[in-house]
Amino acid sequence: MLPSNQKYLVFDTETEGLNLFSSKTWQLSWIVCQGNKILETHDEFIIHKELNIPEVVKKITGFNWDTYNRKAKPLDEVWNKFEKYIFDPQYIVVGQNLLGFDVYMLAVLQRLLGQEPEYSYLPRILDTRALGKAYREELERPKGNLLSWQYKIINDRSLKAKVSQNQLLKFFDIEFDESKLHNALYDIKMCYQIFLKLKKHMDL
Amino acid sequence: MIPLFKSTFSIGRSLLRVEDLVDIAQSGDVKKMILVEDNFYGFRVINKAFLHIGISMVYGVKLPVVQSSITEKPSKLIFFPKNNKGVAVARNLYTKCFTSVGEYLNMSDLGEGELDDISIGVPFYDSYVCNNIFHFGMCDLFLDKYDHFYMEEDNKHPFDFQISSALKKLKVKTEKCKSIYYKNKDDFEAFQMYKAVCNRKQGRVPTFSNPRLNDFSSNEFCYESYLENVAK
Repeated sequence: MLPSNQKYLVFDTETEGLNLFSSKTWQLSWIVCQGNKILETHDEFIIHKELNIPEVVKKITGFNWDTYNRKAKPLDEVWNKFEKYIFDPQYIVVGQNLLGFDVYMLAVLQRLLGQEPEYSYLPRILDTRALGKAYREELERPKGNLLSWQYKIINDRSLKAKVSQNQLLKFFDIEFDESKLHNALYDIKMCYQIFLKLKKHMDL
Repeated sequence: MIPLFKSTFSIGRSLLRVEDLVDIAQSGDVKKMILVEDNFYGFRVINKAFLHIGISMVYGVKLPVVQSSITEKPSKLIFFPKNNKGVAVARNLYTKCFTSVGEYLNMSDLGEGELDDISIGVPFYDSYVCNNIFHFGMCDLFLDKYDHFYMEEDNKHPFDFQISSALKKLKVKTEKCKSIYYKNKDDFEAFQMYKAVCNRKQGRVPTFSNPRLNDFSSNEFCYESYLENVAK
């Protein structure tokens, strides 16, 4: 069981699209949490030379050029700040669908910076999509490798439980504003609420 | 590092035409052309092309296998002929595999000495080792009585360190390999779209911004990357 003073890094990305090799992240948000408290909040927008955001993505994420142009910072500045958290072993890394999407988006950012993708933080990931599915499907948690178990859950198409962030929020009766979902900062705050429920119910 | 090429005859899996393979072989950077194909469709054409240029070629075929029962979860093995007799054996294995119920090669059905002219390669990404990390349902293969080796790749993909770590735990001897499906890193987008189109499902149209390819995120499966690794 995770200690009560365990610190968590919860993060999310908003991106141009769903291309796991090339979609650029324009919003990267993260919070540092301990128990029921949010200790730190970071909400960063990233400057890219070319940013092609399809109308459908603008609609889903509420992307707005004015806000973006006002807040966006150079990628290296944002990454230098973020990497101090993501590669720090004191944090358990939490997020929705990190293993199926966001880890690839971080790799895209690293490649844009001319770096090799670095995945050493993966064993510290607790993905609420995988855990939510495990909980709803009543799967027994293994004692060993949780990373492998989470991948197995994600890859098993016979597990039909609906586990989008929206559906998990409803399932756990967590109050939320649907119009704000898909804003990275709002999403991670809601994601942490889901994680706390899963932690309690699954004895994580 | 062993370069493992795949041609367009493995439909939807590679951009490399026979002419490209010949060009690469003639560039002198590879001692012999080692292929890993999903079928035997291209064998005659490729064999003829390499006989013509006088460069040796090994035609490996990758097949789904189970240890003893079709109820087991299948995994993949690559069968490399060691000689001309081995080519006939590999072709028979291919026929046996795709004419059997479930279209898997049942390893327990193989006769004594049947694989004497074959070297088995355990692939990095869709072997039983990989399946046991990323998919439910244990699968295992007993390969001790065969000439076999385990492949290890580094394509800067999040799966790589997990599979390498599992191979280390198994204490098996590994060979550094590189699967090659296209020539240059710049060809990645073309490969991605080709793969997306070949994998498309009804009602789910792939686009550049959403090619609908799970975990498809590395541009390292190319000849350029192989040359970079060799140069290191």
